[in-house]
Amino acid sequence: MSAAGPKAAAPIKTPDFFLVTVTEGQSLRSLAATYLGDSGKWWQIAALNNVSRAVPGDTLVIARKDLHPGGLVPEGYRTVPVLAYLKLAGEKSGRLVVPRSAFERQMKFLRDNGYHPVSIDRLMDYLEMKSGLPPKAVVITFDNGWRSVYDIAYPILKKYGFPATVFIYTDFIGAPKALTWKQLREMAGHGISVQSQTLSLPDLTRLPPKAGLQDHIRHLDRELGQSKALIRKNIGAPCRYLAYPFGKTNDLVIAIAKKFGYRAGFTLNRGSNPFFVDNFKVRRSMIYGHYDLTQFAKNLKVFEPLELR
Amino acid sequence: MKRLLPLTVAVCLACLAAGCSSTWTRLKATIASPAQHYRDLALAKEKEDRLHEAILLWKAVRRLEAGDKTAEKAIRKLKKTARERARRHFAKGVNAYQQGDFARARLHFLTTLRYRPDHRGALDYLKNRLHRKEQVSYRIRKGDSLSTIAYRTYKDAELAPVIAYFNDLDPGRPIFPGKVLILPTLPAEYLRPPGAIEQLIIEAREKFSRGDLDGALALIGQIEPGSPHYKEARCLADKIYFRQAAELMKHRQFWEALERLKRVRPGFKGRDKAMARARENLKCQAMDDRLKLARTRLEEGAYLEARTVVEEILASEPGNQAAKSLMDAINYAIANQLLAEGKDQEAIAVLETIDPAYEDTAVLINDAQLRLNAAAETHYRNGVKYFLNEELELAIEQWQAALRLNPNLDKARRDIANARRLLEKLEALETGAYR
Repeated sequence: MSAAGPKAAAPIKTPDFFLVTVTEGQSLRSLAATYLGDSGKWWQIAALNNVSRAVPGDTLVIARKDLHPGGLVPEGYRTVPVLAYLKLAGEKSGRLVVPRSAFERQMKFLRDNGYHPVSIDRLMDYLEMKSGLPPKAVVITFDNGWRSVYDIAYPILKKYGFPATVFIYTDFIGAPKALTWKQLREMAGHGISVQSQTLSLPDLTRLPPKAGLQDHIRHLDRELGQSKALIRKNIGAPCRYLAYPFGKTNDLVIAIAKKFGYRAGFTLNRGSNPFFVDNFKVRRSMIYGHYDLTQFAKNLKVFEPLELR
Repeated sequence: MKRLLPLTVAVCLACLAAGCSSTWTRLKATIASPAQHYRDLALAKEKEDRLHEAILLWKAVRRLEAGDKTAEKAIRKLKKTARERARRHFAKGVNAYQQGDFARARLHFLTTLRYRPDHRGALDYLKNRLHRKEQVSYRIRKGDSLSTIAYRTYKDAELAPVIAYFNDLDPGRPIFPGKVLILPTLPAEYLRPPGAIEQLIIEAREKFSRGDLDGALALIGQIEPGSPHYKEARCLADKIYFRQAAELMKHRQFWEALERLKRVRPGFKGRDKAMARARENLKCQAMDDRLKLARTRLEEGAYLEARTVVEEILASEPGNQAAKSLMDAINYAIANQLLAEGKDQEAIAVLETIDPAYEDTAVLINDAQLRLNAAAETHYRNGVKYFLNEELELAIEQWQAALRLNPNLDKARRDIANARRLLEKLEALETGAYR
């Protein structure tokens, strides 16, 4: 605010907020990084002060905590879409194979339309009401661990600076068309989170014929426990999220996932996620190879209107 | 400010023409103090029902203008409003939840959280209670085992190892009351469908757990000895009989309780002790019943009958204090009856069997004795009169009567002896023995 004079006054710090006079070269992102420890929280400053950018001389109130945990506003609540991709290919497409060009267009669409891809950890913090998310937040995930994620998706994601998550089934890693641990480690160092989709991608809900419940539990124990341990060992980072093979889960699978300390489980039930979604039934929308941008955009619902007064 | 007015108008018009709200916000700020700017912004947020943003902006106003009391007042008012609205919506949410209207409950809990983001109750409903639970917690109670818990939870005791797995327990080791277990919800398709007999046992167990003991027994009774699961059924029957016995004991129906306990198989934990207790109680109860009978007879005035009952009790249990006290009461009543009939001597005999400290026994004995002494004296004097009239035999009768009433009246004894001697002399004179 120019009334504060051309020279920046020292910021005022209170338990609830900072009062900061913007100086030359500062932006909402840099202010968020300085005062909130996270440039991604720039939108909190923008929303509270009713501004879209920081102008030198302006005095801005920076709330020290999210004023809308859970994305609750009088008009409704925020939802977060989680996109699921399986395979990508140079040109050819199939129901579960997204061509490079389509993927590139989709990522560009996200950037051009103000979507903010966020990491899976940030999504979970949001679901647990620990922190907020930027407007139009979206999560990008890949299933199984196909090599095309490294060859096609990874360079595009890097180009746009988008974080993503790869759910791998560890028996597949190192197979001819699969990712290698080396590639996964490389991607993990550049904002791609590596998480579990079990050991061998079985239908976790199906009790094998002639197998007793206890045999089945032993099987699930191995699938969920060993894959988690392998990822931790090979990536050097904790594995805390589980994508259910084929998106299928049930109470027993969830109970075992909880026993192993998984923080959340991801289905393939289409739809966006409000903060109060069951953490072990997070919805994901599979993006098919034949989708055009209109069909793609239908999976990007970020707000649920509801009168909350 | 007057000089600034044309500029303000111009800026407003420019801004409206541009249709840019953030520009308008900024331009508006250029002509107002920061505090005024935030005051306006706070009021706008309040109008939009964004109370927490409004509160924060009012705090900024307060910080910028320390003497501004309107800011303090507004903060207090907004906080109160947020609290009240949160409370109201939470109550509505709980009500809707209890009525099974989960969509409406969710709406109110979300609204509660919007007004009070730290509202744990609303968050708990939204994140936990409105979702299906894949596991529940259970605190181990005395007498539980993994098998019994598995049976209660899944209708299948063989699933005890599943509970052990989820709780990192060794299925072969005992569990201790108080520990909280996680019990996963197992999908129905994973559970073994029970057979007809198992179904009977399951239903019997359910009835048993609900306290319908007769219903449970009726179901168990349908399972023939030798059929599969009979052993299990018999174990349940033992538990049912034992519980029935306990209920009967509570109502002091010891005989019936003992009968039920006899149906529990030997070796059942607590059976022998319970039987001994029932027998002991039966004995006590018999004694109590007889004492009660004696008391009733006493109240009815059937003293002798009452005394007979108590005498029997004391014969078998000489130390029974209640019987002793009752015997005193009976004798006291009998003595009073005798006194009323003028039978002082008999009354005294009865009173002397009573504890002297009982009621006014000592006084009664004394009064009766005085009356007896007076009557003895009357007889004595009558004897003297007869003696003086030389009616010696009549005199002796009177003095004997006096002695019966007062054996300590020595003068009567002496006078009887004297009179008898005189009678003998007179007889001798008459027969010529005196010469």
